[in-house]
Amino acid sequence: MQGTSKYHQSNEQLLRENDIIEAAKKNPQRFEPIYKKYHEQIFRYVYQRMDSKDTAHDVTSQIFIKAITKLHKYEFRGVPFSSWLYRIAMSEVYQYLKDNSAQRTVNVDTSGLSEIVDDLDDDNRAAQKQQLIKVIGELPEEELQMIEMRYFEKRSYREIGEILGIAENNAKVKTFRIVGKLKKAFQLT
Amino acid sequence: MKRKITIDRPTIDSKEIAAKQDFSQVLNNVPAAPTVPFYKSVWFYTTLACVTGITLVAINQFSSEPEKEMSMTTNNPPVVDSTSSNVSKDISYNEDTPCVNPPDKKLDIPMSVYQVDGKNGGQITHTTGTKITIPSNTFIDENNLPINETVDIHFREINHPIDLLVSGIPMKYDSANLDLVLLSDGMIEIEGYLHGKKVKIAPNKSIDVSLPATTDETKFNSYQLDTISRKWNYTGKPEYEKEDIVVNHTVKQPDKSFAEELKQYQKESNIAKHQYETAQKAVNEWKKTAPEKPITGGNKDRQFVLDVNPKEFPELSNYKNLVFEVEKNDPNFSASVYQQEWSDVSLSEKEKGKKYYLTLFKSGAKKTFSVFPVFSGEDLKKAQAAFNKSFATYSNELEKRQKAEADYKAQFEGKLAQWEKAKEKETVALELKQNAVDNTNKVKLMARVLNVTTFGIWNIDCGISPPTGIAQKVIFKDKHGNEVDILYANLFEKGKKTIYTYNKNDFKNFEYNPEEENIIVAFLGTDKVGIVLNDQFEENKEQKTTTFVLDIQPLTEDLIASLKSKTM
Repeated sequence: MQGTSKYHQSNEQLLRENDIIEAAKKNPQRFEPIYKKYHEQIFRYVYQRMDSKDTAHDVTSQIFIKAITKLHKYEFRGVPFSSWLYRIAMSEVYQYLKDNSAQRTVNVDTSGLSEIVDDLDDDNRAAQKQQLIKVIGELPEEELQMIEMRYFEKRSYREIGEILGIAENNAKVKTFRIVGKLKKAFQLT
Repeated sequence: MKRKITIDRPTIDSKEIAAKQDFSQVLNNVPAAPTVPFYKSVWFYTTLACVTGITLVAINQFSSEPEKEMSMTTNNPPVVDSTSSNVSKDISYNEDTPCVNPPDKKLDIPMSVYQVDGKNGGQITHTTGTKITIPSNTFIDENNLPINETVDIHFREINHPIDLLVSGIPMKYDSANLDLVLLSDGMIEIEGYLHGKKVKIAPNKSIDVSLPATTDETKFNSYQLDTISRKWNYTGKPEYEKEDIVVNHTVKQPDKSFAEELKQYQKESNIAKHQYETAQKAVNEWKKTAPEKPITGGNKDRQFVLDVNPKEFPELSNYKNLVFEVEKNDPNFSASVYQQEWSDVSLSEKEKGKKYYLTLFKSGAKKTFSVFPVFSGEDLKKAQAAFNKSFATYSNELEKRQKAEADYKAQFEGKLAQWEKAKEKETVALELKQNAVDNTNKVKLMARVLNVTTFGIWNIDCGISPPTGIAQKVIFKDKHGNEVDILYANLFEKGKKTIYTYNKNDFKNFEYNPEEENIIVAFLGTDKVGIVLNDQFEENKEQKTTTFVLDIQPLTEDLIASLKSKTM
């Protein structure tokens, strides 16, 4: 797993961030620190689901344009602003893929595969990984998102919960269920 | 949607991503605010409102007396009709039910009534400790004229999830992106009346309602219930009354002196440690020089008699025709050496007075053994006397060295104890200092303040998602196995001040969080309640379809009290 998450912030940080957002609601120029802070995170989220780097950059820009446009609707709920941005990102990515009949990319980080199925057989490791990737690739979108965020993007359950608008505990429970399902499907193949 | 799988795609460097940042381009692409069509403009609505108002006044002038009375009634304190029904009755958004719809008026949370001077204002302290601060000239009448008379303030607080249920206040909240439920951290209803008629708050005035804080959380927002559009409107964040935590300044000073003391003890303890270790080493070295008792007899099959040069080996000079015996485990020795003829023999020192090397020579060959002297007769007596003498010297010296070692050990342990004590003091002082620093930055939340600008229902809360975890089809039956027709089921998660309301359509996919302690309360008509406790959720976790057996009880104050204890 990665080191300290950049996602979580102290109450003071959240309140300071919210002050900037409140100021940006009146003057969009004031949004710049937020843009700089979250640009990389959002780009990586987009690129994880897309094939082309350039397209991912374009979609990232579009996400921030939309965020500024809809900023007056944003309400502070004690969680990082990025959870709101991620929801816009999620919607923009799917809209782009749909509009352009583009393929949704699943970028598999093979180090995460051993965390999902920890009893891969040493002799057949490569073949088994291929099987597991195939099973993951066939998951429904919602379940794929959970696996992607947890095992390939190495996000905490709290972060996943806040991005998907569900409780941390539920993110955990759901992920465990999907992993259970994957293990079962993996054993059947 | 088709998917493309890529495996271990190279990670993009942060610098490369940062190079593509272009905030000005993003800003340039933000669409300008659209022009509002005339029918959506403020002036259009203002004009429309004026025209409507004038028309209504005109109609009112010509209306009959009973209708006038009806108009008066609507301005009176709220009277909510709770009609009887055979099916469940609940909070709903149906057009034909009021937004705030208590299931049984008798059990609704009553309003407390306070009097306030309209001209001078005043402060009210409610039974819960909530303070209501009303500035001077706050109230205006229906004609927007200031009220200088005494105004009745009707006030209630809804602080328990079951209070939310019996007051019939909806908790659903439609956020821009999500269907949420409001998790309450304090709800109030406040109204003002003059001679039984509702009054209003002047446009530039507000009433501060300061609710004692139950948590230090600042994530909550304030919302007002719009009973016409049946929506909670976000009004911003409540203000917080904070209090600096008092810091005991005496604990902030001592760290420096402790650090110096610790440094000194550290130094002294290091010296003592070195002295102790040196003394310990001296004892061990001396022990190696312990004289050995002279050996007598031995194994005659492994012995040699030698005439030793006294100049070369003065320690053996007192003995004549000394016998040397080959050590038991010497691999070079065998009985055959006695069968051979050796031309020469030499002796060299291995451990002075104790062990020697004996080498036998013959042309082109030699054999070396490890040997020790064996005494007998006069030699033994002499050897014993020499041993006694040297053992006495050895013992004296050993005693001296051991005493020095013990002294240094005691000194070291003393210094170490002093250092440990000083270290403990420093740790405590550092902790106290840290706490003091932390506390200096900390503030305790004393109260949340709602700026009430219009009378009605206000809530301090945050939106949360409906429960997820297990989704089942649920059927409700009574204890005789008869299916019970329920329109709404209210789900409580113990300890949370909210209600999740499920309507009949949701029963096909009733989702709840198995990690929580769940309880369902459903109204059956106006006088009965059906209850499902957490044990039924536990028992049916694995089912696709669950039948909940309702514990049907008459709706009484005692039942409400019992439900309160079960849900918080």
